[in-house]
Amino acid sequence: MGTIIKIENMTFGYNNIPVLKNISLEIIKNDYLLIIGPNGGGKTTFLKLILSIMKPWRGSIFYAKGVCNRLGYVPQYSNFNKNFPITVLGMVLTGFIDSKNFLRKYNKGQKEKAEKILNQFDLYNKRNDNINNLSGGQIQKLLIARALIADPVALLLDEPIASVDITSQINIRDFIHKLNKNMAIVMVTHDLTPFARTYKRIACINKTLFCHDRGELNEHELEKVYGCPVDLLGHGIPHTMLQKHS
Amino acid sequence: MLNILSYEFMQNAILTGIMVSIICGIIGPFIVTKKMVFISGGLSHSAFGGLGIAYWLGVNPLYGAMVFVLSAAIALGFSEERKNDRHDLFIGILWAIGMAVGIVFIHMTPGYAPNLMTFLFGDILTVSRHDVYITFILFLIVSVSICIFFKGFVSIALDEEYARVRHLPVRLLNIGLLMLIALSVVALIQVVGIILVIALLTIPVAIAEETTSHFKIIMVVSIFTGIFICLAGLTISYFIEFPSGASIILTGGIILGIIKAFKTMMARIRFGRYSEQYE
Repeated sequence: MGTIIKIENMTFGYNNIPVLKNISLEIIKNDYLLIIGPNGGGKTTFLKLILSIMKPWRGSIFYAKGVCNRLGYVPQYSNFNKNFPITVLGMVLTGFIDSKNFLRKYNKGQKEKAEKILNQFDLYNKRNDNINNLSGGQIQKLLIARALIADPVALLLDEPIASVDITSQINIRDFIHKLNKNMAIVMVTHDLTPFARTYKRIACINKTLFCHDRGELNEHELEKVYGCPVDLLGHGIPHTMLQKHS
Repeated sequence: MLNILSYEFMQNAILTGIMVSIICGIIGPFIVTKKMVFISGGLSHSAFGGLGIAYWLGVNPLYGAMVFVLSAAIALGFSEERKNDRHDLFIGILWAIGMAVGIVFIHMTPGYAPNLMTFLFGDILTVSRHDVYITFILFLIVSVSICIFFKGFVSIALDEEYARVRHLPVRLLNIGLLMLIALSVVALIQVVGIILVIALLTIPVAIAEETTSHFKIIMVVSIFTGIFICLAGLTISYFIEFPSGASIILTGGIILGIIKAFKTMMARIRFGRYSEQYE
């Protein structure tokens, strides 16, 4: 198993108050890592640090060769300028833009690939619509499409199913599961249930990070991270998933 | 009608008006979509400091304005980079200090005080041939840069965070865009003056946004709207001797008002009026 991202003793915070302390984690090829934790625990911040949107105060992040430029990111959908006048197709195409090609025009192959990927997400008919005409769920799909278009080696998702209906939830889950054959998945989620069958590891983040392999979880341990009682719903799936924090 | 075109001041005014409209149409959509209207206001008012110092030194005020606005743009770029929530405070301070410096230096200039009104509200009819050349150079710089860096600027306007994920030079692009706005502001000051600059950067875009929602088409429509507004305003000011800057802006404002009213009316006719009903 090749490590693609290695985080060592990373510390980061806002306005001189640390949010994440001494975090160490290795992300391997074909990883399927769920990140859970209470609000304000630093989950999104953690993703942003891996994506080099922000720089850590201390510690280091190592990327395997060619990984740093090939990370896909699906933000929570409120993060971009929704009033920007751009079509769905145009927005997906922006997923191609990087530091090497931003001076050049899109080529034909890129446009075809964008149309193909929109087709996969049932957005082909909407390709010439303005992005502010899309519903929340459609925007979520559009953001996933944008992240996938440049063939990432790892896909980092922030609450990808928070604003979609059950059918789309299942579609997105199955889709992510399929993607996992070709790339590592790192996903922040409040809702473990849809991913209970497919995940490989779970990281609990609340200032510090505890990582658990696929195994046992009980309510006690989740309670420690969240700082309050946690309900786990089981629908014929294992409802205990994590081991003790060491 | 045609003999007014034989005056050199009229030719200068028309040339400047057209070039400035194109500049506005190119840079305006970025300012509006990236919500940088307040920043543009800050930049244009800080120009007054440069104008004042240049007058005091006895050089062309446009050069003074250029130096001042460009430095302000770079300072703003770095302040924005630090992501502090106090960004608008910084803009406000820049705005006021720029004006204060300008007033002090104009006050210190010996002899008669140059006409403040010309700086504040502009007068396209006093543009000299030399100013036309300066405007042309500014026009070239702005339009060529936007063409080259178009995708980069769209990326940071649409989703700056994702641009960082893709390792685009976000800081450089931000500062670059601010500097282009600064240069546009300098070109605009001659036409509509410091106070009305924001209007010419936003009104054509607002009119264009009523007709389409594609970024590139918005640019094109803004350019033509801008040219129309400038020439119409210029004609009005020539014949009924209104101040040119204000005539240009008011023409734009009236057109925008008519379009808005027309669209609202059409919607009313199609969907009926909303009414609350109580028992």
